[in-house]
Amino acid sequence: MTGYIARRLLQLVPVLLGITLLVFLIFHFTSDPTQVILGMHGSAQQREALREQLGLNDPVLVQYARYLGNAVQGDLGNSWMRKTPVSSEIAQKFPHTVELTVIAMAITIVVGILIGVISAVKTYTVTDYISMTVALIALSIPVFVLGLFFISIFSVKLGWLPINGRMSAALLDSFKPPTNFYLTYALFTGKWAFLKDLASHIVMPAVVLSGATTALVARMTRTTMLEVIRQDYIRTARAKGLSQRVVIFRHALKNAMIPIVTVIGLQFGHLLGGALLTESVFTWPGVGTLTISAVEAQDLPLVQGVVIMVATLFVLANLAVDLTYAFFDPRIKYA
Amino acid sequence: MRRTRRPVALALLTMMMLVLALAGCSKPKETTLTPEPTAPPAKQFEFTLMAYTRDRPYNTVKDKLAEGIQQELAKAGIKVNIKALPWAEFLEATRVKGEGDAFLLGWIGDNGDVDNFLYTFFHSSQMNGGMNQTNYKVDKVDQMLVDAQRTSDLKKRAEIYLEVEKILSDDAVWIPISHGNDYMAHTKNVSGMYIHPTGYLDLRNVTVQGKKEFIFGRGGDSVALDPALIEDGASAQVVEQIYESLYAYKPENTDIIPLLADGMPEISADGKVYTINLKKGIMFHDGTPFNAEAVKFTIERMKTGKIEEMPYADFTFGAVEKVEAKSENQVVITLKEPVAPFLANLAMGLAAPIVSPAAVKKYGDKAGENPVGTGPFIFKSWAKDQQIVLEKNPNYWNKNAQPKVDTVIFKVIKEGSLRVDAVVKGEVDAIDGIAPADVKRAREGAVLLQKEGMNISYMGFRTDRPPFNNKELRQAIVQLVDRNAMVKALYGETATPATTYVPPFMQKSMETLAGKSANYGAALSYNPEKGKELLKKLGYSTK
Repeated sequence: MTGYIARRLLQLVPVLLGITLLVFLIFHFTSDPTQVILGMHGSAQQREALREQLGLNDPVLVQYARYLGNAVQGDLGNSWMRKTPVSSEIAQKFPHTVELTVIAMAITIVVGILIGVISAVKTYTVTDYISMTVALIALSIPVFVLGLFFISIFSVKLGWLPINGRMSAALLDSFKPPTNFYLTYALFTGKWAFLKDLASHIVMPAVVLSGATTALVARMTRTTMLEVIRQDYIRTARAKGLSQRVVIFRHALKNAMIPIVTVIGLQFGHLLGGALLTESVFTWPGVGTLTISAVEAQDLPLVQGVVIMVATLFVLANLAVDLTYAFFDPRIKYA
Repeated sequence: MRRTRRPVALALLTMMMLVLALAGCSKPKETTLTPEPTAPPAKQFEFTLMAYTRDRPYNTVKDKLAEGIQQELAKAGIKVNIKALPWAEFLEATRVKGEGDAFLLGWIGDNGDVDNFLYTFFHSSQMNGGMNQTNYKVDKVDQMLVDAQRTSDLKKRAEIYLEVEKILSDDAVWIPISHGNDYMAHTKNVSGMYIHPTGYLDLRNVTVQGKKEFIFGRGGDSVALDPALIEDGASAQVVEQIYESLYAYKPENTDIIPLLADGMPEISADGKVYTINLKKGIMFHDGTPFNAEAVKFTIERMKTGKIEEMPYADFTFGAVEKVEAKSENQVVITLKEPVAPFLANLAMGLAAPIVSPAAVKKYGDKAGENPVGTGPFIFKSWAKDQQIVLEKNPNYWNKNAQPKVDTVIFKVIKEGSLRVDAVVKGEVDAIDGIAPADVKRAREGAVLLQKEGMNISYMGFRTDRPPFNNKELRQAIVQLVDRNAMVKALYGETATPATTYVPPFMQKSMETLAGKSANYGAALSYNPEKGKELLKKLGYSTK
């Protein structure tokens, strides 16, 4: 097992190399760092001096090699527009995105599987048709539109939830968490007033973000469950007199999990991507908002940093998914 | 055929016949005889117009503006080829590579001085990579612009600038198009807010009924809180609460009045030496005194700063040769050249505000996150990309303008329409950055403030090469665009058609000072007959 894990982790290397090289080349041929850093100011000499300083007059691959050399030592350079180290920018924003994605993922898994199972058990009933139609709608609506729609109903018309942000302005000022893991901190220190405010702010973005993934997981669960339920061993279990609940959850669902878990793993990538737009709509101070600002400003180091982070997370998520196969199907062993 | 296929075939056949019938029923061709031309046939005039595809404060319809001009000129039979590029590529193409016969661009003023507009665009030193992308070079105009820059006599400056505008209009260097409006909105409980043309945010008179906390929603977060490190409006808004400069603008325009300085500066006869007396007894938020040393420190810090860290340093203090603290409360600034707009630089919210030397020395690299100034509000906390919290300065020196609220919170709400929702709902007390599409909603749901911005949107001609090195051709084009109608159609109420080369309040200021009539030096008005006449004279076909 450890050998397998080690080999899979090695896969990170070619993936990261490929992606960073691609991003690097795209920026090299389409944008001018001096334009980004100096904006409208700076005479021709100042631009030239900056070019020298940043080493922009060297051949492309030399610049790339220099970037790689620094990167493996942990120095991802400084953001061109914010002038702060990329690694600290991302590290600061990352907890916000993590908390949002975790909640969204939790909704996806719990709600998605539950709905899928119910639909599979009650196939072709009204419940089934309604849940699958709602799922289709949730899949089709762009996250951005869904977000604005939710806000206009729940915040503006009904006033139940705040419009956006992580916390109310006044509360945020007195909260003073040691890290940016607001929710975790409030939960573990029992600060209920803050927790309530944080929860009311995270509800909409998490639901919106998980909309499409929940729908997909629900549909996938339904499909695989329907296949599994028709199997002989399910008939045997029922014949043995086991309760419906044990049959469905212990036997049927467990066997159906492998394709479902695969889909959930793939959805992780979708969540990271959707987080970009959801965060933008809800002014969530996470990596998504950072990325959009970075791309708009053509801030190469920051974009590279985010790309590396996302690629790494994606590879790790897929590895985790593959490892859970062994849990669900004891026949699978990793050499 | 099978029963199910026959109706389908019939339907298809009917549709085909309908389509043919409609096509055949188009207007019959004109069959008048065209007279044989005796002269060689006139060519259609066509040129390439460079456009940018990004929203700017002076142009919120991106490259639709280019289409508007294309349509206007098409009425006269001129073909405009639009080349629209994303912002960075657009600047590269027009400024560095020199592409296009004409281009769209705009400008937001920095310091409120006319020099910041006219010199920037029309002095020949600003060609080749600067903002004089029309490559306009007229020695007489160069000399006039320098003369206006070198005298501190406001009346004389106004007179010269107005004459410059007259020449520019005769030379038809630009089509000045419009000035975008600045908007702010606040709830009914708020009073004491106003829009300054430079965007300077003065919150000292703001009150909110029912609470002592004022929440301002904006579209982006500050980049830094130290005036030396910033160049954007969002950062300036917060800096303007914490820090103050030697001078400031009057609330209604960009006339200069003293703030931390005691009275207007004494300027030497050669215009190079500024002797400024400072108000006494003012303290920074950290308890250290505001004095001549602090002013000296602020300016010298920026003269030695790197351009990628201090983007506005060169613009603001580039003309300074040396700064001396003659006494505790008198500072003498010597310029390399007598540059009159320097006084306006001292009133900006960028780079010019005075910092506490003790604080900067204490925080070093982190000065951008630990701001200490003399202003009406003290920095409390900054949750990046979320909000900045400021508190009332209980020891604020200006007894006539004490801040009325206890707390100011600058909250980030990225999405423009959501900002409007937030102020309508009351979740924030005021917002800025209202897109034209949201203006109506803001006006209906909240109190909308509107003012002409200190900006201009224009179309510039490349005057240094064919086709537009021909003055009469340029004059023709300027007269063939109905600017008023086009601006109304594109922007509705959210922009004002431009008549001259500076914002209206600056134009009015100059006209008052110089005793001239309104719109002195205005660009050629819409005159299609004259325009077409010129076109024909130059050998081009017209409609």
